[in-house]
Amino acid sequence: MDTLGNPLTWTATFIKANEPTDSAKRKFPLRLGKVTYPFGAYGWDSLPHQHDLLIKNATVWTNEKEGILSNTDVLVKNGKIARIGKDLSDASATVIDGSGQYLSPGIIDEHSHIAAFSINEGAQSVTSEVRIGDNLNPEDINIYRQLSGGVTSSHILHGSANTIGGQTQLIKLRWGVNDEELKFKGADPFIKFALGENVKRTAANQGNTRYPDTRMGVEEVQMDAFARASDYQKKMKEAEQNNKKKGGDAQMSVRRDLKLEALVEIMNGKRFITCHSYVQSEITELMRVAEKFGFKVNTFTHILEGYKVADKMKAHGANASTFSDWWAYKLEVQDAIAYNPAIMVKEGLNVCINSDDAEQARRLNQEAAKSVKYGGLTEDEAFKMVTLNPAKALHVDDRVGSIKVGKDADLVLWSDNPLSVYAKANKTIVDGVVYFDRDKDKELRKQITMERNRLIQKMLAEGRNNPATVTPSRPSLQLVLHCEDYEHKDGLVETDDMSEINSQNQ
Amino acid sequence: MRKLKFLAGPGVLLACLFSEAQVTFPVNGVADPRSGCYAFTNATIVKDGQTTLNNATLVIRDGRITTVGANAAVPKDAVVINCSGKYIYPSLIDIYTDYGIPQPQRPQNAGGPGGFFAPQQFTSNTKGAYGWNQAIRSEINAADIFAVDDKPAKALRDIGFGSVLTHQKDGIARGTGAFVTLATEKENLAVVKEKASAHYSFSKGTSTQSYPGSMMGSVALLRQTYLDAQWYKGRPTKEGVNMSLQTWNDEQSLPQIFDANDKWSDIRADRIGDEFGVQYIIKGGGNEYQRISDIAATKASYILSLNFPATQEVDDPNDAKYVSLADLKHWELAPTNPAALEKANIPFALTTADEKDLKQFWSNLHKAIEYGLSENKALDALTKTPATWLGVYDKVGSLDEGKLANFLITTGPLFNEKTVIVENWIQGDKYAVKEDAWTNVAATYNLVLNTTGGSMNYTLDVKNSTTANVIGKDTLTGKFSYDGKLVKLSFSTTPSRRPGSQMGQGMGAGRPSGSKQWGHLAGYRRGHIRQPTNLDCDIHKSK
Repeated sequence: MDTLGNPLTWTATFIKANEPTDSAKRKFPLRLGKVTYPFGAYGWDSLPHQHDLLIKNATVWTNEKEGILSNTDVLVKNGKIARIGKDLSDASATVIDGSGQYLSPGIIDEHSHIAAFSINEGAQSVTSEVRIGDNLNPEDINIYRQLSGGVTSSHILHGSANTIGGQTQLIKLRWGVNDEELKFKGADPFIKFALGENVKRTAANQGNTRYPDTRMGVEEVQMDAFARASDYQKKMKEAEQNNKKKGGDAQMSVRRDLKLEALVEIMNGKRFITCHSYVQSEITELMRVAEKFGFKVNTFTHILEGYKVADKMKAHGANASTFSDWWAYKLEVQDAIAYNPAIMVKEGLNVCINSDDAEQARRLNQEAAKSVKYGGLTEDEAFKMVTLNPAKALHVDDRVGSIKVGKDADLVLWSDNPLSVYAKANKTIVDGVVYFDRDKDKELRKQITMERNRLIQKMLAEGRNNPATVTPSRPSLQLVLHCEDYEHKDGLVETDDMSEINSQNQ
Repeated sequence: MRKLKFLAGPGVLLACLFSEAQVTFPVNGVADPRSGCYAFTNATIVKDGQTTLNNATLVIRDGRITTVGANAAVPKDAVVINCSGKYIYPSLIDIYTDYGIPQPQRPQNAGGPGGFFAPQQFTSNTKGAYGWNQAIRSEINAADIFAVDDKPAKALRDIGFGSVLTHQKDGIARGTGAFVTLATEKENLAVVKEKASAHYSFSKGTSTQSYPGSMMGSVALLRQTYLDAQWYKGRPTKEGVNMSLQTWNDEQSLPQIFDANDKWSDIRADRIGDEFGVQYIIKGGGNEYQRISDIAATKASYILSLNFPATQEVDDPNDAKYVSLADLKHWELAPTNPAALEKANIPFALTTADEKDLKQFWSNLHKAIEYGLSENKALDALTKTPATWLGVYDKVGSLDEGKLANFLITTGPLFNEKTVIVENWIQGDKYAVKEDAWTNVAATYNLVLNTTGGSMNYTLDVKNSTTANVIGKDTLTGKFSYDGKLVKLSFSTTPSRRPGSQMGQGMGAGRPSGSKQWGHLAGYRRGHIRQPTNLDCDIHKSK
């Protein structure tokens, strides 16, 4: 109606469509970074391939009866050590000048917790069904960092939350590969056991509901577990014989129990124990239980009171894997001494020095060197504690641990005497692949800075274009897994379970 | 129930609710049977990713498609809707939702703070003849706990979805999923398939039980449960009745969907499947492109979210330095994930799951397309692919005769950024999404006012559904709106010096205002095609 209140009719007749004013958002050609392996810093653009290598003129620490060879060449073919000698030549091999440098076998860390999404399954006292190998994290930056310290193999242990922990996983530090390719193929399977304060939950501040509460109870848990495993094995055999005999009708069905199966493997010498241990009484206790069930404890790890029972361990046939001088972190380690590794060596035990720590693992050569000072081991004996001895303890000394024709080419080219505090790993080689190269590392650092800068600039531009989509910056949490603790510190969230990180991210 | 809902429901829902009464329900009042027959004519009909019909007709009746084709006969009793210039697509399918399912709650004070030395709960707190582990919830059936919920349904409908697979996202074994439409109907009609899938994950969810407390524990629990379930088939007397294992076994024949949520977990889940002869459909984590050959080697099908990482505030170098290169790179490359799977020939479906804001779904999908995902693949991943996996392609996922009348009417090709979803029809009922977009009214018109004092001519320049200029001697700004049916226009016939203040009178126009003349005009648009507007009333698609 018009202003006077009179109704009116109106028509609007289409004349023409509007000019399209709004052309679709102008698209820029995509400029994207590369997918790297692993995805993130220090990753490869494409995975490295094996090349034949000829390392010339190095001082070679063989760990074999040849001892230390000066001005020696080592030829690597198809990932194996092919020849050791002077003035070698090979037309197809890439030559690495080792002049003034030291070539040693790669370091093997008998006790590590890197490269896994979880370490402890502590909900029960017996969790032999869980497997570290089910949750490897091949993108853990600690793999790369430890390569820079000359580590080539790590034994990833379950934590010490319970008496019988999970199945362990030996890995080679092949930076960039997937979880399955990380595994040390063909190695004997191991399992983690633990004793003492952690498993009896001394520090449970809300009351412990989980059996056992005492060291006596720990023994009972072991006895009970192996008694059940014995029964299980018997029932399985009975069922097998019965079902063979009678055929389809009266099949005896025994529940397959993954927990007990692993224990049966131990009793049959098909799976081997590495046991977290501190106090002498417990060490002898576990050896007695093992002997009752007819097997051996393969390795005692930590074993800070090993010097007290070295003779008993020798008689039992156990290996020892210990720290050089790390103690005073709880009551049950108060009797530890720096002479422990040397005393055990002199008692004739196969002794390893391990890290149990992602940072210490980068300096295991220095950890080994301490026993030259404390206990007077020779350099050769000391260095073997982080190379050949752990290879023996892990039953892979036919593959790694020394420089010998036919063994895997897991090698480190050091800038100095490998036991020196000045020694740096210039190249770390696994299966004939140079996975760490100090010169390339410098180049990578530059590239990382440039790539970060490019991405930050791109993110800033995106933020200006679409301010509504911007969220506060979120620090990338790094996961550091431990044997036992759960704490936050210094910007790193340290936890024994990835799900803790996930829940914080939600 | 139906009655209560009817009375309580907001008025706008009424139109949707009485379309198809269930025969077993008593009638209170007067029966109102309708066959809901519609013919959508002159449309570009995209039946599926491979077949597009131009200038075709879609006929629906009783919530189903009766005919689709270029020369489809229009039944006499059909409400004819001229869809000239419009596109019709099958409504989209989301295979990974918990629509209409109650959110599981973690009991308060249960389990304590967790951690290495926290007290333990050794067995399940679930009451009844169930298994030992609280995270094995194979006895849960989504269909038992599903309730139609209009608010989340509308949010999904508005972005084009017509049906979803829904399940309770809780536990390591999560029971079965139900395939339901997003119709605001009684559940009896909304549920298409009660048991369409079985679900698994590595996360124990609300379980207060201590075990498993780790990723490897979750793997071990799954492996042991497969063994136990197999053993339970022999009905071991010592076990008694174990309904968790029973339902676990019952569900093995369904499509098995594993929420892995990360590239390494995808591979891990697939290995468990390999060990027990199960091929999971894996819900990925959006980082599959980082290991595409390993992902391809699983030979699994994937469900991908388009939840791309947010742009972070990195203006301050002190903030920026804590953002890792991996996170920065993932921010840049995450939108390439669907394209990477397409390129590697890995089958995948897309989901709105994990999307922080459903409204972001389309912008993220456009981004994925910009980063290499093909439009055909995108359509398949939202229609045919999930429907085929779930065994419901005979009911949804394309526009074929006999299927549910679940379809979208859009203003153009679905994946064009300018295209608007106008209506989403589900089971033969219309759900308006943006009806004012039905007609693109932006154009120039010849406006004639027939007043008592003679006719007056203007040019009407319509910019969009809320803005228009009236041009006579001068350009006159007025108030304009068009909601798809009703045009409202009021303007002053003399130019305004202070347009702001006059605009403020808005709908009060028509009152004398000094020397100025005001006109307040309202009219209905007729039909849907672009033609002159006049005052004739034509109620749009009533039913």
